[in-house]
Amino acid sequence: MNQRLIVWREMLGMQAMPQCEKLVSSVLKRTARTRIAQLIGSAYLALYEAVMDPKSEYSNASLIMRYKPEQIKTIVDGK
Amino acid sequence: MIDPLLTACTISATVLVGAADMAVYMLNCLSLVQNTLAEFTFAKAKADLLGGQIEAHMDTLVEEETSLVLIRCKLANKIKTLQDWRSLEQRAPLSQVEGMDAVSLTEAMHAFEEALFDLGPTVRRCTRASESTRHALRRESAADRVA
Repeated sequence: MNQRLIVWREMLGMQAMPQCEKLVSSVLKRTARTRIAQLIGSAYLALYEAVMDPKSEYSNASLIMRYKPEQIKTIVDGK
Repeated sequence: MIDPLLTACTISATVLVGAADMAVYMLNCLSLVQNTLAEFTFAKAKADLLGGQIEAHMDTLVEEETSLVLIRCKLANKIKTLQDWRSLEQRAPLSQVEGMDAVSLTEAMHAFEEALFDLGPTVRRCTRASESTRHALRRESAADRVA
């Protein structure tokens, strides 16, 4: 898992966020990556809560959303 | 004094097609000018003013890049459908909304997880890179011994 986290962070920077890589300032680059990671985490959280809500009537919600938002947040934040 | 320079940056940015490209270009220009001004007390007000512009371009970049990542992770459509569904006053259960049935959603989530976890090619590239470095170090070390 740790190896995957490291690689994901690298991929997130180099491949998944190609525009951020063009920023010259390392401070701005870090700010952009952090904010993007937060938005991805928030998007997953919204989806997770909606699917896990019994009113949504998914009989197998935990099979659809196999990872908790905290786990996804850890991966995209790289913390 | 620096306004003509900033105007030139803004005009030259218009040749760029994508909003993210423009935002990155302006962020690079503005941060360079801001960092230069920040060294001088008399220019602090102008440097602060540029901070506001930097924030605005950062917002654009973050929004555009996040959309791109979500599209690549196959989540963009699902998030959009969820937002539309939430805005409805009277809504059917989410599982009955088109595109949000258990099968479609499971497929989308698997694609998302693959984007997060199935990093085989990247891992292999990293491994190859570190092996190349080790080989190069061994060659250097052997050459030193011969010398």
